[in-house]
Amino acid sequence: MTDRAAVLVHWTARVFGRDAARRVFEPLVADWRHEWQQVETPDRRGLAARWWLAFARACLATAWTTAWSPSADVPVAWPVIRAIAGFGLAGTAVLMLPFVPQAATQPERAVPLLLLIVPQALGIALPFALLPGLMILGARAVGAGNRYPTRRAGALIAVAVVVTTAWVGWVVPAANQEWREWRAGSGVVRGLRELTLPELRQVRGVEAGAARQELRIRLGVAVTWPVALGVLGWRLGRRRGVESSWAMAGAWLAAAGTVAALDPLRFLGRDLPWLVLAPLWLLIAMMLPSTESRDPRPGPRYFFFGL
Amino acid sequence: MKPVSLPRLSPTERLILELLSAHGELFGLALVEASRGRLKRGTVYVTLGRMDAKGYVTSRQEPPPPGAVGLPRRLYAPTAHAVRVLAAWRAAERMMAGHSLPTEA
Repeated sequence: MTDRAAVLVHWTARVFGRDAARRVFEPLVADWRHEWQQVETPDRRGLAARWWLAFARACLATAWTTAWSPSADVPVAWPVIRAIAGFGLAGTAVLMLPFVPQAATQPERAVPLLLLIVPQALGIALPFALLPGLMILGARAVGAGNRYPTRRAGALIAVAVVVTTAWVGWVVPAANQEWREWRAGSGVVRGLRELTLPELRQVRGVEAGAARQELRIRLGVAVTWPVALGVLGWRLGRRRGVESSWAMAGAWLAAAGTVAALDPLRFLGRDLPWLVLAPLWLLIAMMLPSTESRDPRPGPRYFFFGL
Repeated sequence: MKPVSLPRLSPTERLILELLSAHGELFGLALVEASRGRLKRGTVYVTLGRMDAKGYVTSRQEPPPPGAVGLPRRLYAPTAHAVRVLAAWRAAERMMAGHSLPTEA
C-alpha cells in the first residue's frame, strides 16, 4: 500500500472505527489505487478529482451513519458529540418555547423573530449540554486505568469555555442588537446587554456598576457554567460507569431545574452575582465524596435524584 | 403460523443485488460501471458496507498477483439470504402489477 493510502485508511479507522474502515474505506482505496495504476498519466488528474470527491462523499455518509448508530468500536468522540448536539438543540428548543405564541400571532415575522432568539437560547443551552457529553466520557473512563480520558475531558471543557465566551461575549450581543433594530428600527442605541465583553470593561460613569454586574454574569455563564456542569457530568459518568440516556436526561433536567429555581438569587443585590453559580457548585460538592460505582471499597455514596 | 415480514430493501440495495445476481462476483468499482451511472463511487462502498452488516452480501479479497503491493481489492457476491429476499420482492411486485386501490366515485 502506498503511504497516502495507508494514511487514509488509518485516519478513517481513527475517526469512524475499524469496522467502518474495513467495510467502506479499504475497498474504496483499493479500487482507487487499482484504477489509478490502469490509466495513463494525462488522465490521472481528473481521476484523482473523482476519487477525492468519492472519498469525501463516503466520509459524509459514514459520518451520518456513525453519528446515529455507532458500532462498538467507534471512537468515543461520536457519542459525546451526539449527546452535546442533541441536548443542546433540545435545550435551545425549550428556551424558545415562550416565544412561539408571539411568533404564531405574527406569522409573517415568525422566522426572523425565532432566528434572532436562537443565539441567546443556544448560549444558555450549550453549557448544560456539556453535562451529558461529559457523562459519556466519564463512563468510558471507568476502568480505563490511565489518565487519557481525564485529559480529554479537560480539553473538552476548555474548548467549551472558549466557545461559550466567544458566544456570550460577541455573538449574543450582536444578535440582541439585531433583535432590537428589527423591532424598533435602525439606530437604536446599544444597551449593556448589547455590548461586547471588552466594551463592558470600558464603561465608565453612572453605568459602571451595572456594566460590571453584567460582565460578571456573562463570565459566569461563559466560564463557570461549562466548568461546573462539565465537572459534574464527568463525576456522574465516572460514578455510574454506564451510558444511559435516561440517566443523562435526568441529570440534565435536574441541573437545569436547580439553576432555574435558584436563579432569582442573583437579583438579591449587585454584590451577589456569583450566587447564581452556587447551585452548580453545590451539586459538584455533593458528588465529590462519592466513590466510583465499580469501586468495591466501602465508602460514602451520594445519590442525586436517583442517579 | 407466525407472520413473516418482508425484509427491507432500498432501491440502491436492490440495484446492487440485481447487478450481483446478473454478473456474479463484482468489485465496488465494477458495480459502478455496470450500473451505467445509477451508482456513484462515493456511496457504493457505504451501501455495500451496510449490506455486508445486514447479511445481504459477502465479500472476499482478490488474491494479490505475485509481487503486488498495497491493499487487495474486495469482491462482492450476494448471500443466499439476499437472493431469497430479492426473489420475494420480485414475486410481490408481480402480484401487485397492474393493481391499484379502487377510487371512490
